[in-house]
Amino acid sequence: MTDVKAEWPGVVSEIKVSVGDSVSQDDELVILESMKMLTPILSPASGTVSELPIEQGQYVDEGAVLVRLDS
Amino acid sequence: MVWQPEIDELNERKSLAYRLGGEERVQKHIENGKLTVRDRIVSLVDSDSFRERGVLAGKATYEDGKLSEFRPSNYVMGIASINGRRVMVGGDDFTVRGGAADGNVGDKKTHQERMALELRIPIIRLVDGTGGGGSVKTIEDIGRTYLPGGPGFWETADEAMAKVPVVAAAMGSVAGIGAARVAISHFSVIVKGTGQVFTAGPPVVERGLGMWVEKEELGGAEIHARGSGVCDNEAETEEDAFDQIKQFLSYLPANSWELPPRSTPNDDPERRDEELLSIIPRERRQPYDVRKLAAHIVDRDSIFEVGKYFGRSVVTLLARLDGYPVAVLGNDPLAVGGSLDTPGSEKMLKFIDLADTFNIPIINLVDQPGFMIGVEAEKAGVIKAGVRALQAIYQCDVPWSTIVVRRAYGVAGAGHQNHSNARWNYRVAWPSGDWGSLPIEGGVMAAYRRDIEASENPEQRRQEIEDKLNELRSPFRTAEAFNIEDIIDPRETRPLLSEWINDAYKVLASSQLGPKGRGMRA
Repeated sequence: MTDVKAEWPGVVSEIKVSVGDSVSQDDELVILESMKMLTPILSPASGTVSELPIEQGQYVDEGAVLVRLDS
Repeated sequence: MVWQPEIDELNERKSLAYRLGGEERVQKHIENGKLTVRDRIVSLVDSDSFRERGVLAGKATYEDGKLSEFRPSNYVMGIASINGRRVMVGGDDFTVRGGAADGNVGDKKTHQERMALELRIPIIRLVDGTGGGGSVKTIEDIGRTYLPGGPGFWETADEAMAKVPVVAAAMGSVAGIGAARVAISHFSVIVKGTGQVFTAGPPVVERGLGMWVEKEELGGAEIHARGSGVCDNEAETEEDAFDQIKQFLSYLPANSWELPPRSTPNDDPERRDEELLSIIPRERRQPYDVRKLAAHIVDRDSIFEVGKYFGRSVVTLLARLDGYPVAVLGNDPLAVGGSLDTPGSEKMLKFIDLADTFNIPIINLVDQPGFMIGVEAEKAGVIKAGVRALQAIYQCDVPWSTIVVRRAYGVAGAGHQNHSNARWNYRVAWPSGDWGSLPIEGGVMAAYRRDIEASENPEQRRQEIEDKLNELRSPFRTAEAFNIEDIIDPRETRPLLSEWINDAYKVLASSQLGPKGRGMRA
């Protein structure tokens, strides 16, 4: 299990995967908007998306889990 | 042949020193994935260039006036060459007393630093000592305790930071003064898996805090090259660490009195890469790859990145331009929106001080949205770290050039050039330039609140004002007022900077160089 966390605060601009999706390392998982910049959050590993504890438009703190991967 | 017996004894004593801590300990050391200190030095420096100093130092036992046993000092050091340039190199021998200070004889470490300072050549420390400073065993040996500090390392370490390049590698578990010897450097690298750095190791942590933590979790590469910034870079292997040390030193002069060494240029100074015209997206919120951007400007394959995984919103690259070493600063829009946060500020400060100390001209590729905002950034003291970085900019006096590739906002944006004493910096912008005290989107409500709230349709009114202001946003209007020297075609960046760097090195060549009054803090 790998938790993909927000390394800095921001707003979830776009969620690019769904629960159950297979992803490869460096695939874009989420677009986080911080400081007026749309930053792609990349998958740190290959695996399956097991949980998405976020919603589009939601503010997330630094350290918040964005995506949970079974890897 | 008058002195042949003594020469025989000399050779015999040398061979005893070469045995290090003995076969068994050496074997165990190698099994742990580490090279011996002597193999490390040989692997790092030019072949046959190492001339050791102090090989005879050690703890001897005599029987009937004859040498019966010999334990060499656990610090091996001497003078050598790297790519034909002189360096002082030394390393702890972990196989003798775990590299701890009680296995040192005399003070070879300080001797090494004094020698480097006198000869004005770089210092390389290959650190591999548990409790590099003192061991409680010393108390038993000398029959008393002692006050920490005193003559030795600190005076020379501080002086060295201002005068000669200091490079350190963490190649084992290093604690106490060993950790300090890594941290007080211009460039440090930690070997993944076998290198750990901490003020005190797991047993001391357990005794003092009542918690057990594994050494890798306490001070491994993940902690110090990616979290704390105590180490600038991480290395996959010991050989990788040596390669990085060699690369780092290749951009630096031997000391702060000299100019950085020019390499034979390998690239056309007039090269105009088409990619630069499209590298910045038109949509302001879209990021891009700043490392790629830099690579299109500097000489082909000339980049060495320092501190890639720490303070990631700031990118610090050593590179060459028309063969001349340059220090390239950039903002990475892919990390923290490119904003200046506390780690980024710390990284920027150290890099500018490094460049200033060793006379390396600075190129700043600016895309600065401002200081990081929010609760966490405030808790981390962003404004204090930020102003310290800005002070570093204003205190440095190496030639400085600024290319505003996109944003320059706020107080952090103001730190894009060294404008002290109204000095001239080469400063131009790309057509994507976008700047101000604060961004229009955020500033409209604050500045026009009354106007907007009095309107029948506040949202429409806000949009009207924003649109009107956005029309004024073109960087050409700034250039009309000569608030910037020029707006340039991005493809012209390399030819223009190549011209500038040639001029900059001429200025440096006719300047009085030497250590800066401010010294240099690690």
